[in-house]
Amino acid sequence: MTDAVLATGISKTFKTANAEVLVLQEVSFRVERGSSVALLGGARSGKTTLINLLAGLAQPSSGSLEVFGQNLERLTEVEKATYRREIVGLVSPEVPWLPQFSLQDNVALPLLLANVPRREVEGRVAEIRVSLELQEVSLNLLTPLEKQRWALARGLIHRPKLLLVDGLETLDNEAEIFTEYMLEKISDLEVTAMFATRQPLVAAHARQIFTLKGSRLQVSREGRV
Amino acid sequence: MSVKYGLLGMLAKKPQHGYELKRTFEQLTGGFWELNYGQIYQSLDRLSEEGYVHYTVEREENVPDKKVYAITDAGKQALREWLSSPDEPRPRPLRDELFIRLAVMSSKDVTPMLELIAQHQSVYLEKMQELTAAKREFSKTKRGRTPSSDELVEELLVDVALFHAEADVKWLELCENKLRALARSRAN
Repeated sequence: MTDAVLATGISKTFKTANAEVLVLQEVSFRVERGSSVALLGGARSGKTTLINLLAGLAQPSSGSLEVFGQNLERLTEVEKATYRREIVGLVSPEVPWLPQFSLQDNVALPLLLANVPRREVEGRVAEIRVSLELQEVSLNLLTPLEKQRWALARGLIHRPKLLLVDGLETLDNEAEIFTEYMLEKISDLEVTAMFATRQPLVAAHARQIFTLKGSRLQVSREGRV
Repeated sequence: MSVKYGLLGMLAKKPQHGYELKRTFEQLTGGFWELNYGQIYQSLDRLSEEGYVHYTVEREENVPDKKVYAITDAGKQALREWLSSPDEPRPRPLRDELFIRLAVMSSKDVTPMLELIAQHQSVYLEKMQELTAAKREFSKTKRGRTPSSDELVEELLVDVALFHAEADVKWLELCENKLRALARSRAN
């Protein structure tokens, strides 16, 4: 079976007004299906850049990135949109909540936009609320931890193959509680998880740890290409 | 000193032979304190001479004879005294081969140091993964009930091992950042 993710020599540079900044340099790794990977690195180490590349939100400057057998740079714009909608589940503070809707409707939105029949959507939302133990409250009363749990529901509702989690540092000391909860909840699902963190204690919950340092990635034994 | 009383304490729970003692001791200390057989048998010999333990020889076919050690009444008394004797608190010594290596490495080229640091980091991270998995097992087997005192001790030792490994990983990261900054300032 193909790997969940196979990255070969990917680099990413950003152009600023007067310089080019190299964020990722020749990064290679593989992730087995069903595994969980922590991307460990400090601020501005390239964690979010890597998550965005995997999510299909940005293109590597060079190198190749294959996710479940699909070579991302060969996809057309339409195929890429399908990839983002179906294969990837993204949990990130960058994904906004719509305040005019209830939390439950926010979670249902990706399915409604994909034209899933309303009755099925309701069933799936009810199911995920039970399995993730979520209580409906108003958006502005949510604690950061509760909000993250709802964000997980939104990231999983369309049954993605690759779950990408960024922004755990907004949870501060509760990042570990959330990570433990998340990995337990997804252990029965057929999903491969990758999450970014700056805390070694949080990363230690993953099956594999990849460390980002100086724009390079130090990969654990099983993750080497 | 504490190894000797540690072994005595484990024998107070049940009689064991040398190999079993090594395993129980290492399990109890979260895999962070490894004993070699030399240390164990030396301590057992001393405990025996002092009359704190006695042994019986267990014979089995096709395997060498085993000495099974048990605590004596004098041993129980000695253990009680040791447990109640004041242990003067002092900071744990920082002893690691890495510190010496860093101290004697040439600071002209930081690359070998960075490599050494990276190796150490991955070892400590792997240890943290193991310890976290052990903690997960604890909470699975407990499922809300109050732990026995043995379970509690085991869990606390895993916790302290985890905190130490975390501190090491963080310190190594700091070393790395400072060495990279040094290399950058030299390059400019």
